[in-house]
Order: sequence, then C-alpha cells, then structure tokens
Amino acid sequence: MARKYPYFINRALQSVLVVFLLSVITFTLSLRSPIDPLAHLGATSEADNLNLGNRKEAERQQQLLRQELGLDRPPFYLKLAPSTLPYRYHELPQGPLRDLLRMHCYQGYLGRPLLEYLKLLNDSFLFSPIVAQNQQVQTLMLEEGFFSSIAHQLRVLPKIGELLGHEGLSNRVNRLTLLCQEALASKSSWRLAIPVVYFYPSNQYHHWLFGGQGRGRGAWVGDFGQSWSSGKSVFGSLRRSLPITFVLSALSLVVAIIGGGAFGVVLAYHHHRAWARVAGGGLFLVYTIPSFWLATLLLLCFANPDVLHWFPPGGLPFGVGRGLGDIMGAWPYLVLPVASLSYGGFCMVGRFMRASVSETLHEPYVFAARAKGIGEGRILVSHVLPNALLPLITIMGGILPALFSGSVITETIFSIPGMGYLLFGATLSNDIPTVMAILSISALLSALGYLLCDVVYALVDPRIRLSKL
Amino acid sequence: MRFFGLNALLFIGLMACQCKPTVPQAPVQVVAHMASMPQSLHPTNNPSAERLELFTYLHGYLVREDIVSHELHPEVLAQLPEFRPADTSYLCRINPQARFDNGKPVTSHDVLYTFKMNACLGVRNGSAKTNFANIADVRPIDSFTFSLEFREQNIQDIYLLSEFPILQASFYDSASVVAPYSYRQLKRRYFVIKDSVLSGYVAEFNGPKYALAPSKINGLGAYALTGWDNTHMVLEKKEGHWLASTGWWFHQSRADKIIFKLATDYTGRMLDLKNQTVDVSVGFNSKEVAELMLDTAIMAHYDIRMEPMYSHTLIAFNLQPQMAKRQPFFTDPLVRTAFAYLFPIQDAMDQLSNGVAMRIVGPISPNKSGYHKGLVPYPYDPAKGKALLAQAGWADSNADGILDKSINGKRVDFKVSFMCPPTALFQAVSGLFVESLNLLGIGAELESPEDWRDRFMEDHDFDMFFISVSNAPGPSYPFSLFRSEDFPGGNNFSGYSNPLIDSLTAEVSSTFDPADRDALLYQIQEVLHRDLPYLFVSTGRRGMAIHKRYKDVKTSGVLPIIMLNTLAPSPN
Repeated sequence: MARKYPYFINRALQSVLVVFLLSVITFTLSLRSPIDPLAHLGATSEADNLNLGNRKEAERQQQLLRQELGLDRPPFYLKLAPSTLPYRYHELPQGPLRDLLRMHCYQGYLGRPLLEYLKLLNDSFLFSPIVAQNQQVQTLMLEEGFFSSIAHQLRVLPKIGELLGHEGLSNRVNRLTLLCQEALASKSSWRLAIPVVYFYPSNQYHHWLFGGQGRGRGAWVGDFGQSWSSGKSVFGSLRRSLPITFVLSALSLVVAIIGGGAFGVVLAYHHHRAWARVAGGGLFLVYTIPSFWLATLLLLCFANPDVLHWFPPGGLPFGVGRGLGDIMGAWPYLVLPVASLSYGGFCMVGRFMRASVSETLHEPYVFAARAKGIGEGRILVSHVLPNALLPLITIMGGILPALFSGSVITETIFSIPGMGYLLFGATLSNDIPTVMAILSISALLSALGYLLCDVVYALVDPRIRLSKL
Repeated sequence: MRFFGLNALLFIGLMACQCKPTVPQAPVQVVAHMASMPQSLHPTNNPSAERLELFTYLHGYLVREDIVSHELHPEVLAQLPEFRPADTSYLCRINPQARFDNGKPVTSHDVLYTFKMNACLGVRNGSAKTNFANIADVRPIDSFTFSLEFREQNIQDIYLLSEFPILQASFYDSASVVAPYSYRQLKRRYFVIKDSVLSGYVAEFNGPKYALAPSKINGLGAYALTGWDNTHMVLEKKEGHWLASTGWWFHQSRADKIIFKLATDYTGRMLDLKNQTVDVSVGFNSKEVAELMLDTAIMAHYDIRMEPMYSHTLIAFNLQPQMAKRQPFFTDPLVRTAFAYLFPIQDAMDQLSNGVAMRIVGPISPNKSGYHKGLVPYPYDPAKGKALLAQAGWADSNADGILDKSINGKRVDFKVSFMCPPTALFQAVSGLFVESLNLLGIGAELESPEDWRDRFMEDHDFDMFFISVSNAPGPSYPFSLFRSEDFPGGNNFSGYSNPLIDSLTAEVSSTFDPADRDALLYQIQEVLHRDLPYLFVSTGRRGMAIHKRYKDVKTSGVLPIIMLNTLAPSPN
C-alpha cells in the first residue's frame, strides 16, 4: 500500500492540473460569449442615452459599471504579444477602438502613440454630444468605414471637421489628425518579431476564481456570483435543484448497474440459448434509441388514459423537492424519468457484463474450481464476479458528474426542475454564471471521479504494476 | 296516537326539506400550465413573461388595459388622468379605496416611491427605464393627488402607467432612505454612486430579498403568493379585497386558488389535458393546435382557441446597399413591387403553419383599430412580377437562365441572397420562397448565418431579410422600422427614408383622438404598401385550451391571455 502513495500523489496532482485547465477553458468560453453582461444585468439600456442626455454619459456610466464588475481588466495572468502591443492596452474600453489598436499593433505600428491617439478619440471626441448627435457625421463614419482602419480615420477626420464647422471641435480634429499621423508614422516591422510576455496579477480569471473586485469570495469556495436571471446566488440555485437530480441519477445508476449487471450475468450463463442471443441483440437495439424519443414514448404508453394510465405525465407534486425523503415519497412521478435515464446504462452495463462474465467463465481457475466440486453459486460470487467486475470500475468513474449534472432532455420532457433543466434554462436565458458553475463543478467531479477510479483500480487489482502506470 | 306519529314524521320530513342545510361550496381552484418557472418576482427587475403574468394577480397598477377591448381602465387611480395643457402634465387622483394588505391606503408617497425606484439608474430594470425617459417629474400635491410632468405629450403617456406595479414605500423602504431625494435626482447615476447609504440601499433592493420569498412579494393585487416550489406556484384570494368592488370583469376574483404547474414539454401538457388535470393551458403553436383538435378525448372536455399575437413577419429589402458594397437590386421601387408578386406567401402559410397564420398588409397589428383592412395583400402572380422586372430593365440577355441588367456600364446578374435567422420554421419558409424565385430566373440563395444580428442590424449586409418583429398593445406602433431618424443605427433595417412618412409618424404620436389617429395610420400604411421598403407577410396566432366547465371565458392574444381570476365553473 505504502509503495503506491507516490502514484496516488502523482494522479492527484495531474487531476488538479486538469481541473485548472478545464476552469481556464470554461472561463475563456464565457469571455467569448457574445452576451454583454451589463445589458443582460439590466444595468444599462437605450433609455440611459435618453435619460443622461448623450451617449458620452451613457458610455462613462458603462465604464464605471465595468470597473465595478472587474470587466475592464485583462482576462488572464499572462499575455503573449508582440512588443508593439502596449502593456495597458485594456485601458481602452472593449469595442471597435480596442480591436483597431490590436489590429494595428499586430501590423507593426507602435502601440503607445496609437493608444494615446485612440484614448483621446474615445474620451473627448466620439461621444461628445455634437459628434454623437450629428446624423451627417454618423452616416459619414458608417459609409466611410471609420472603424475599419486608422488610415481611414486619417482620411475621414478632416471631412468630419468640415461637417462640424465648430471651432472648438476643429481644434480637436486637428490635434487628433496630428496624433493619428504620428501613430501611423511609427511603424516598425522588426518590433513585431519580438514577443513579450506581460503579467497581469489582477485579472478577470483571478477574481472569478479567488474573489475580490465585486466577485464575492470566488469560485474555489463555491461562490460563483449571482445569477444574471434571478439575482440570487448561483450556489442557492444549485442547492435547490441538486436533490432532485441526485435522487433521479442515483436511482437510475442503481437500476443501470445492479439491474444491467445482473441481466448481463444471466445472459452470459445462458449464452447458448436462443432467447439469450435475442436479448443480447435487443440490448444493443434499445441502447441505440434516442432518449428524447423513448421518454416521449414512455409518456404516451404509461401516462396516457387512452393506453395505460399507470403513472402521472410529469412534474412533481407540490412541495416536493426540498429533501431527499419527500422526493422519494413521490415515487410514481419518478418511475418514467428513471426508466428514461437508466435504459442506456442498463443496456451498456448488461452487454459489458455479458462479455466480461462469458470471458471469465472460460478462465482456467473457473474450471479448476468446478473440478474441485465448488458450487456454481460460490464460483460466481467468489471467482467470476470479482474478476468480471474490475472493468466496471472505469464506468463508475463517470458516476460522480452524472449524479450532479442530470439530463437536460429527460428533465425537460418530464418537467422535472433538476440540474439539467437548470442548465437548459440558464443557457436559454444567457445566464452565464450559472452555466459556468454547472460546467465547472461537472469538470471537477469528472476529474475527481476518474481519480477515485484509478485509485480503486490500483488498490483492488494486484496485477497492475505501478511502473507502467 | 299512530296518526299523530305519522303526522309528526311528515312534519319533520317537510321541515327537513324546507330547511335544506347550506352545503358549503367547494373552493374554486384553477390549475394552469406554466412553460417555465419565473426566476424572480422582483417588483422592478428581471422581466419575464411568467413574471408579468403573475403580477397581473399579485400587484396593482395605476391603470390597466383590458386584454379584450384594449381600453384603459383606472385601477389604483380613481379615474383616468386629466391632462393639463398649460404645463404638459397630468393630474392623477388615487382611489381612496385602494389599500395594501396591512390596511394602509395607497398614497401619493407610495406612487412617488414607485416612480423613483423605477427611474433610478442604479436599479437594474434595464429596458423598462425607457418608460421613464419622457416623464420629467412626479410631484405629490396631497396624500391622494399627484401630478405627472412629461417632456412632451405623447399618445403613450397614459399607457405607460400600466407597465409597472405600485410599491408600498413603507414596506420596501422602512428606513426612508429614498424619501429625501427627488425623482429628478435619482435619475442621475453619479448621484446614486456618490451616496454610499443610497447606493447600499439600491444594491439591497436589486438583490434577491424582494424577488424570491413569498413573504416579501407584497402587492396590491387581489391574490397573494402562498406557495412556490420547483414545479408549482400557488396564489390564494385575499378576502374582502378592495378590487372586488370595481365591477369591472377584469377584477372579478371568482377563483379562490390559482395554481400554476410547470409543464415544459408538449407531450406532458397534452397528457395533462387528456387526464383533465389542468383547466387552462396556453402557448400551443399551430401544429400542436391541429393535433389537439384531432383528439376526441381532449375536444370533448376542452375548448381549443387561437388568438392573434402582436408579432408579425416581414421581408426587408436593402435600400442602402452601398453600405455593405452590395448591388442596388432593390433601390428601384418597381423591383420591390415585382418581388411582392413573386413570393407564394399563402402557400407557405398553408403548408407550414397549418393555415392558422393571418396574412397582413402593413406594420400595424390586425388586433388594433388602426389596421388598414381596405388594403389588399399582393397576390402570388409570377407573370405580373416578371413583367414588372422586365419593365425595370431586368431580362435574360445572355440566355443563361438568370435575369441580368447593365448597371453603370457593367452587366450584373440578378443573384441575391435571401437571409433569415437560423431557426427551423424561418428556414423552411425561406426555402420555399428561394425555390420559387429560382424557378423564375432569379438566382436566389438562402443564407441563415449564426451572426445574422450583426449582418442584418449593424453591418446592413444583406439583400433581403426575412424576420419577425414584435409589436405591443396600446397606441404603440413600430414606426422605428421606417422613420429616417432610425437609420443608421436604429431599427429602420431597410434604410427607407420618406419625409411624408416622417411627418405622418410624428403627427400620429401627438394625435389623441383615436379616429384621427387611425386615419393617419391608414395613410402611413397606404404609402408603405406602395413604396414597399418591407413586404409584410403574416402574423401568428397563439393556441390555448380551456376546460369546458368554464363558460364565457374571455381570451386575448396578449399576456396574460386569460384572466384566471375570472374563471368559475358553470353551475351545470
């Protein structure tokens, strides 16, 4: 046992790394979503422009909120970039101007003068009421592709100056034109070839994981922030939906593993009989049925007064859902969902066990046991099952995340508000914090499940040589 | 003695018949389906259709729109507001009968608090703030009277008062944090951020405190939320509620208990109807309605209805193709008219929506009086369409099967993209249209990109776009679709500009007489029907099932579709 500790530690460290990478991927995906958190939180609206009188105020207000939510920071600790990209590139608000800066830096223009020019353009020109509310200027900018390149801007700026005909703004246009020329003159292709790695200790991922900057205590202690749909804590939503999914998944797993396993053993023992062969093929056929189709079929067959009205057509009775006991008490409501959730696992485990037990039954030690006159039941329990069950450990690795994450399709068809339904609803309503929480916890539990699986495998199978692991 | 005994028995028997014991009537319980549970019942934030439906029963509003007649009725107000032309303000009087659950009357202080919290830029009620953009100030005059000052008079002014429930100031703000600040002050965010006490209060108000617990859902409505779990919401009637005395059908609280039951999938909903475990189920699409109508068991017990909705579909033509460097196919009105004859719209509606969609001629909903019934939709007439295209100079000069024309000295083939959002129904209908155009010598290609919003709304990168737009009840019209000021950057997707339309839309917004307003709306629709910046296609209908034990049920295409409080089983 002690010899195996380094292996366990090694696997645990690998799992930590996997969880970290998965959290980075999940976080990156959330950043890539096209949903603006501010608009989704109802923190800004078109009316802000009307209320505040002009777009500049609205833009400043959005900037303030971004700062409150920590959205103005770089996304991650490290950034590999060409040396032309300025360290403080994120000081420019997200949008077309930041995209322009990035595009030009990657073309070899020096970032610092570009940043100076673009910040001036953003802070004191684009959102000034005279520019923002001038229809001719806005049309000219759209038609001339003002935001497509800085060279375009250099060409369009004098035209805007002419259209505005405002002395103060003309000076500003001249200043901008000068800065723009300087920025465009600063192209140096060799700098593009020198990569730099910037380190940002205060970044969005850091605050999501460890809290601070309006992000609570951080995801690492289960604080995934507030749901964008309900305003309540994501953890609270999970806690409300989890018991239902847990009961459903646990029952399904029991049916799949115990039922499927027993059926597989029976099929293996009677493999020479015609019915066992038909049943084996049947398992394969049932396994291929899509779950949404089977769930609907179960409802139409067993919850339908025109056919058989044995079970209710879905949902749960009022008041059920807070504790495991009262969920179990509503068992008639669970029969069809459990059947729908477990048939795939039942078929898979059944086929798996049939093959595994059949193979074990032909091992020499089984023949030897029979030759010694040991009863068939004892052979099965003491010699066949311990060896045939070993590969099932791998399947068990997937149990933990399944217990947590539930099934979107089954829960939606049967109107069961578990984790799958929560994920489905959160996806439809663009509730990114909830989606991220469910994905992150599923990833963590997957890694944990497979770690446990490896540990158990190493403990129970003496044939496994640690040097090869 | 025997005679006396018989008489006595007869007497007792007769008396027993006369003094029939009063059988206590069973409480009326209405069970309705709900497609998804509301995430929040916050009084100002997190809008959703479910929240809006529940608020109908839980909260009270200054005025309400009758979902059937679409007329406004006072609710918390004693009567509809009186306009005071001298200062573009309305004088509003609160109904002295209106009372909160703790017995306290609704005062102008509560109304002012409601306006303040809704307009406060720290409160996260997003798009709802649009309602307050035109409201310059709210001033209490006495305990039951207040004035509303608008920036400019608009036909929607009074309708806006039906958009938000009235909140009890002492319940939500027992420490009177908001009271010292004026409505105008609270509309400025910087002011809120600077004051830490106020910003702390606003943060608490935005949080889940007033959004989730039934004990914190405090409203003026005739029902209280008594139960809310993962699958059900239970509303119970408040005894002796002040709304019972108004006499308006909308306020008749016949149901003692309303239960909303989660039903996310059609099969489950259909089986609930078969089992008669629900009384009302709404939100069936046309295909589902057709299926329900074929089921004799359901038809025996339920009344299946369809009500027109306020959204409609249209095909937008790109009238500003230079913005995305596209060919100017549709800048010529003759070409647009030709295309109006080239789409087999009726066939598409019959095939894909089982004939339940309604053909429309303009942007105004057929539910409204301003809809121009005199205009005739363009029929499917390919011959006429092709003749018009020929008149516009499009002919197959090189006999390659595609129409072409010389534009700026260069031969251009009539190859257009027909775009639609990536949803099954849009793609199916668009496929039919594209196929029909291809048969007529127009090289149409169906595009259904994931980034359709950017391409259609921002980049203006399309030739034709098939899309659904929503409308709203009341005097609200989708003018931004064709006003010059809404292009670029607004909802004028085609880039249409017509000074006559601009002046007519401005006039409609300040015309309070419904007949005069309808006349202007007819004029707008006639111009649009002629100019065709959009080809208006159809409006959908919403399906619903109501148990036949309820008689004379009033239904509508707008939320809440059915007033569940007014349902009571017929004596038979």
